[in-house]
Amino acid sequence: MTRKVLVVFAHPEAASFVGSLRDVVASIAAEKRAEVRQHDLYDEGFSAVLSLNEWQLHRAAPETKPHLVRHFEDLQWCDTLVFVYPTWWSAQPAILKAWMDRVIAHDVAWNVKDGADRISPGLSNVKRLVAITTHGSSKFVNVLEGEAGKYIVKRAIRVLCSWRCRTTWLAMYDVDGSTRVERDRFTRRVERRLRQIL
Amino acid sequence: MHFVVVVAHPSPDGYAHALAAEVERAALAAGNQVTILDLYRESFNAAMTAEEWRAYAGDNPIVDPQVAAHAELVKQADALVFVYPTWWSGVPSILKGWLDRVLVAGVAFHFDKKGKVRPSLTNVRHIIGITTSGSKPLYIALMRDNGRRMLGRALRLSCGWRTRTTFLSLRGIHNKTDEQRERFLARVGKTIGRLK
Repeated sequence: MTRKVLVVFAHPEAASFVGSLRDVVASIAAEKRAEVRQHDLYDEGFSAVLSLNEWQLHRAAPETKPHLVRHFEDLQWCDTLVFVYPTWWSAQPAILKAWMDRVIAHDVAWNVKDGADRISPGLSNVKRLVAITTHGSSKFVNVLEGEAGKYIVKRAIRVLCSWRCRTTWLAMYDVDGSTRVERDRFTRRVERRLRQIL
Repeated sequence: MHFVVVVAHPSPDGYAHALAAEVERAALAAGNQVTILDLYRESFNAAMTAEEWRAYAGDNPIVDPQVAAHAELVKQADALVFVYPTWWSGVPSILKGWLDRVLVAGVAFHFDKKGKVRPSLTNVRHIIGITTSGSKPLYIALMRDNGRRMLGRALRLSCGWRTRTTFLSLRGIHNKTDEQRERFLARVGKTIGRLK
């Protein structure tokens, strides 16, 4: 089965280590003949803030936000959703949190059934969530810090996906003091895991 | 005490701003000084720029005067108050961007002789989070309340040993009556007024 992969990339510098991991996703996807759609949020000039207008349209139909329609379509199209980002302050960079705040929208990723007082999941197309991220500090420090970003993906986003959806967490820690060899080792690990998934 | 109140809600006449106004009122009434940082009103740029990212590890990581002004306030703050809606169990992106860009080396932390990260916000005696959430308590707990974790733990680690954290959350806000909202406002005012 041909995978449909949506890659959401959030780093201000494409020529960074995180940027090279995005390229790894692209090359493994090509090798496995997966279909790929990609959003490089910085390159697109994606707004990192949910606007007042968007807030007022929180429960409105997706068509009321035409500037986001391409993002909505890609999110509903994919079966594999891959986030590639650096972890800052224990979570996603603002621009990626903004993608979640703005694109994970009503009647795209969730809805509210008549009479219900809670949201129902809408992303039954998403069967696999992948997060590829780097941390400046150690795993120990990140555990102390509460790993907010990890659980935003593994819980808050996960519950909107297919009930069978699996999550894959590929994280490198201590990247700030890392050597070339250690970073290469992580790159190999990402390649191996993606070959199994895609 | 000097209270720095960071407000992150797009609607200027909504409940979040009423909460921020109550924080200001209660803090002033208790004889404190208050500065409000209304991120939407200031059109705060949430995304760390490539220039800032390249400067991040250097001696001067702040390149934007607006960020520099906020950083100066944080360095003098005795209490940091965050008023925000919880979105996808985390803080709104504009508030995340504020953390990413303002709380850099030289503001929130510094490096010791061995190059280890050390806390710099020893001036901050209180971290206070005030948030509203559409979800109910059980759902929030299952999602692990990530906004609170980020402020109460990740940011807390950059403060001193004695820094206290206080969280007030109004959960299931869509089903709350005006009376319940009023009661929460009063609770916020009372809690702020009691801080020492």
